[in-house]
Amino acid sequence: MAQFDEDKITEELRHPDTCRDAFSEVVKHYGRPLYWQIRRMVTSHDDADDLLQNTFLKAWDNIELFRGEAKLSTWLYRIAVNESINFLNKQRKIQNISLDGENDYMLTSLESEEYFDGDEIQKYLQEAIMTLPEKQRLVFNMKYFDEMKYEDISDILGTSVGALKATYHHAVKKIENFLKTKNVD
Amino acid sequence: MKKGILDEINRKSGMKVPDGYFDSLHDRVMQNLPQKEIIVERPAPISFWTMAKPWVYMAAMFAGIALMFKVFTWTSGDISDSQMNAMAKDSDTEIVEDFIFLNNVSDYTIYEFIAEVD
Repeated sequence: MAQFDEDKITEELRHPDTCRDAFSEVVKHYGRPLYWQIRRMVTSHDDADDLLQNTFLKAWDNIELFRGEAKLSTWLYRIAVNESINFLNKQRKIQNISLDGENDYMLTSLESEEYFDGDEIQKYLQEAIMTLPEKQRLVFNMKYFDEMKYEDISDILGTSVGALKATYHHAVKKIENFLKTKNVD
Repeated sequence: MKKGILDEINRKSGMKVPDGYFDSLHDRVMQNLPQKEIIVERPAPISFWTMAKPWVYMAAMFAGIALMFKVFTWTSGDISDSQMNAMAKDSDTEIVEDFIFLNNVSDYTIYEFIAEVD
């Protein structure tokens, strides 16, 4: 597989005659990480698939606005994160659930999710993640599962590195405490 | 250092995708993308007037300068005595005609003036 050269692709995205081919490379390269980013937020595979399609569609519609000031990955992750948060807010309104009741709703989605085959510990981990506020959940997913650098997360979420470290630390503590209550240690 | 429970879980979420999902993802995404209208910016056609305009302006400017120069040298040049007398005579006649017209001068005054001139 050819090496993904971000600078070259960014340049090609600016020219109408090479734009579509360059975007095709972008989809190949970022499809998988963006899917997992969205999936961990919304739990359901079907929803994640729809949101991923929307993410790429929005990126394509606004490709003229991408001037390369930010990294391509940062720009795409931002769109994906916004799509996920908007989706969760809509679901909250449709289901008429408060922020407190969201955990129960998410847990139900996880239990009914066809594409989840985690063991008991992984299920508890997902339950623990669902107890976190939205921002903490995002930071935890990016750091723990994707092993992203704080600097990159900072660019995507527009939060300082120091604040992100504190957020991640709080998230880890909450999850560990949750797992202890389930006798997982 | 004691490993935390999160290290033991080994960053696995337990989530999975349908078989072949990522293999077909690219094609499905690309199929859903609308074609973009390729707008090729063409330079606007240049009219003859646009090309000739600076030359016409420059020619007009030089013509203006030449005219001003001509007028200046004509008015400030040497004039002979006979030319001066003729101009003075013409000038006097014009002044008298204007005077008669504006002041409603009587016929007697006019005859008197003609007699003096002759």
